[in-house]
Amino acid sequence: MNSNRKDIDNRELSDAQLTAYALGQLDAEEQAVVEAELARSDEARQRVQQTAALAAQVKQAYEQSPTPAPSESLRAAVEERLDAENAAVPIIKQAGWLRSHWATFAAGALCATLLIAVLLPALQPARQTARRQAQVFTSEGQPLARSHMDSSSRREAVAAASPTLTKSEPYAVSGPAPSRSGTTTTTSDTSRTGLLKETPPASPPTMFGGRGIPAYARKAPEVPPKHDQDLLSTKSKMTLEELAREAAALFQKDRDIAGAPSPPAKKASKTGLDSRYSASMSDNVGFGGAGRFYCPTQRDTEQYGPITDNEFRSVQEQPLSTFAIDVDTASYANVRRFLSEGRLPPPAAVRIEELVNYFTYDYSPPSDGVLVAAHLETSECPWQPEHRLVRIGLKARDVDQKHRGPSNIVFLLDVSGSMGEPDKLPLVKQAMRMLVEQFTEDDRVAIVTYASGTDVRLPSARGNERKRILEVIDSLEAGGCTYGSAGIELAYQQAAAHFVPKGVNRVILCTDGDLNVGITNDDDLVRLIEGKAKSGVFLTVLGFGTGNLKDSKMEKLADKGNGVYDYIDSLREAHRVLVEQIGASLVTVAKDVKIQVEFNPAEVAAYRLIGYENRVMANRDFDNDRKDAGDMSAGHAVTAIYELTPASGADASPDRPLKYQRVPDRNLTKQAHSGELLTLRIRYKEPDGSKSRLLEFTAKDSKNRFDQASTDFRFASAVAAFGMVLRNSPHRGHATLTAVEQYAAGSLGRDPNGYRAEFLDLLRKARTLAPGR
Amino acid sequence: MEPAAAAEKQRWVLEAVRQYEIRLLRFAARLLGAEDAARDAVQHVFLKLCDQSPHELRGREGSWLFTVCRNHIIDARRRASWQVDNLPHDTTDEDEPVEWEGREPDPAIAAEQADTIRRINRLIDRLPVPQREAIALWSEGFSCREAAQMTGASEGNIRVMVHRAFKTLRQNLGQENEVRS
Repeated sequence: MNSNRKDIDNRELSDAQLTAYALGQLDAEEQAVVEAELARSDEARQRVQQTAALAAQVKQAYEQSPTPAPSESLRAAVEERLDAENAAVPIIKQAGWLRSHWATFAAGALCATLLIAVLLPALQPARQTARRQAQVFTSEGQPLARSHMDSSSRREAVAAASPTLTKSEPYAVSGPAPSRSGTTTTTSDTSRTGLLKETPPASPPTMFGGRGIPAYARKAPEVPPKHDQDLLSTKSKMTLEELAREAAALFQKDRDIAGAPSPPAKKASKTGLDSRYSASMSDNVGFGGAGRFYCPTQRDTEQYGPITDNEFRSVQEQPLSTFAIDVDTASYANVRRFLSEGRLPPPAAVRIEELVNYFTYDYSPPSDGVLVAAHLETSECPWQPEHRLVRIGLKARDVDQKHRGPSNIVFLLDVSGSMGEPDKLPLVKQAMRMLVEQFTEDDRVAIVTYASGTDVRLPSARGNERKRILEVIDSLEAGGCTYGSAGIELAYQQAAAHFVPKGVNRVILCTDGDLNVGITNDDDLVRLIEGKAKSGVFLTVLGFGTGNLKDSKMEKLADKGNGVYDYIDSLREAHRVLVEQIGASLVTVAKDVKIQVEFNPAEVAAYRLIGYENRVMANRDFDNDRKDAGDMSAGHAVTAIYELTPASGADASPDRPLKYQRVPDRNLTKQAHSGELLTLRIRYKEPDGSKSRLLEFTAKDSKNRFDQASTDFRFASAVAAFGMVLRNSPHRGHATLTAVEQYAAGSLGRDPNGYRAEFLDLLRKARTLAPGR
Repeated sequence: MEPAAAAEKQRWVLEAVRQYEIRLLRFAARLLGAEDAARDAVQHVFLKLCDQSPHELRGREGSWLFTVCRNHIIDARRRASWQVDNLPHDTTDEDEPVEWEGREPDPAIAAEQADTIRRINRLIDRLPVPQREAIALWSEGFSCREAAQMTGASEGNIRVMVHRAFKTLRQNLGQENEVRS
């Protein structure tokens, strides 16, 4: 309606004021002005009377305009949505609705809901089990875990012997961090921290059978049915308080069982969202007032895959450690969001490797035809001084922005109503504007939206058609409902139509978590994206907003699409991801990068990989080129840290002498006496290659104390320790939030954009939230 | 979910459906002129409500629901390839006003009065959409200030839309009356 403004003259404004007066719309001040005029003008008085009379008629007319009947399907849809949210127990279904029976029905529905709601905490462990299982296996029994190695068995084999390149490199020297720019503060929304922050996933009701939250619904039968029936029938006359007590008792019982050291229970307690956490929360007074019932359910629609900390492994038994690299950093931004909101992140939301990899480290890039460089450094372990830390720093070859290949980018935007919040679509638009600035005429940009149907809002345009692109960006508005179909297909079609060989072909999906992009089944979606990745079009997933984040799902999609998943909580983060790292995020330099470390039993008794829990691979898959892994983009650095117990030192898991056999002679090779701690092997493929290359590096222990380690090393160690404390890891040793601050002391380096300083702020925030940690 | 919260949420959403469904339908129908689209819009609005926290919205459910509904309608119209930044101003391509299967007419309403009301409704349906929207929001009991917040327009702009609507109605009713008499 703004466009009408130019037609409005003062005369009309004053007439409109008169009308507004007649309609009772003016405040006292304006009213006085108008009344003064009315006193002077008969015409004005008459006009006001006319308008008031007409207004009464209009209102009456409106109220008596033909009125549609209430919709039966609306009620069903709404109930289904709410049911899905509380789907741990069967709910009494009410088909359709009769307006005249509203009161009766509402009372019934309310009773049922109260009952169910009261029971929920008691059923929590079962829900967690259900969730865990649902995340590992889909209905087809297809493994879907984040490690994502399994499903690639479908891929065509092109395995062959790989050329080996051996290279030795001493410990890296640290220097100033490369420059970055961009400063704004992170957005935080403290008004959203209440208990009722609960938002159900905005999936359409028709999808409730097959995806997302139905993790609970499908697995509901795991809940011992006896409880429900007992409580729903014989106990239905109990008061609310009685039910609450009952539920609390059940919950307590389950928790106790979960905490007991029996093998299955132990397993349960190791999941990310574990009893240990809820127990500690219940003791933690002042934590959002949630007390005992604080559970992951508090933000249930944010879904995190469970994480079990890697254990120490004996070098004698398992000398090899293999994992896929992870270049995602979403977890850090998400942790930051939680802390900014004044809450501790749930342990499962803390992926240590993503915390560590959020920061840039000054690893020098590779030279001479190699795409990836490795930098190894060792020092004392600050949280367990008798242990050693080994840091593996990988750096991908940088690509000069000016010399990068052309980009062919398709934005796939979720413009459904939920994206209307300021930290969602408006932020997406700002981020896109920033990215558009980077494009040249060789680049192509397309914009596909989904919400109420899908729409190619901008058919692939040249990067220099800035005006046209910006106009489309500006015109984007949130507010759809019917949930698009074929959004992803459309986006990939756009990308394929303008495919640039040797360039960057990427779909950038921006969403707040509702990946209702036309494929109702997770498996199909993953398969589609996997298929598209083979065609050379990669996927970047950018998560926006809060409360509805399907973290694990989004990350999985990015993984399968040979892509990157980032969580964007502020303009600064958008800038970091899209502009500073435009090269990094967009130009894949090395594909399927895997790391295998062989530890030398003469030097190392046991080792533990910190983080990367979801990336651990079977050793045999290292040499299998059909097994895919993480990708590195131009200039990207990846950091991994091992904690070692030296062979001479205390064993992490002391082996009792066996009664019936002696441990066989070690039969060590000559190299075992070289003093080398380990050999690092890296495999990667060229972006369009199918055969991997192998790089090999070795490391000896520097014998450095922690304070002698490089700045980058100390900082990365501090971040890892922070993650362990947040995860309440059993391996945190002496690490506390206060100790972490000491580890990080003096390790900020140049920190041109204050990312490391911000980390210290977060650390302090966490300390005020969890003073005991 | 917290036990109390789940119950409260359900009660809250269902109560909102009870209170606002008809009003939203009428509002959406006014702007969209098509029952199916209106029902879609209203369903969308309530599903979105399920995503909201009762605590955050309590007390302003009405304006929230109407705002979301209004935004959805704009989107739906734009999607129907009405290439405009805002709701269109001209009425030439408007659909015929929707004819609902009306409820039984109140026998207490005099024939004359019923006739006037029908004429007013017909005239409102022919108003340019921004005016129609302003009138519909006002009829729903929202102040100009609230309508301004909901539509993103200025309060003065809303006033002018309402004013123009009334002016048009007054003139047209006058004309019709003249023709009749």
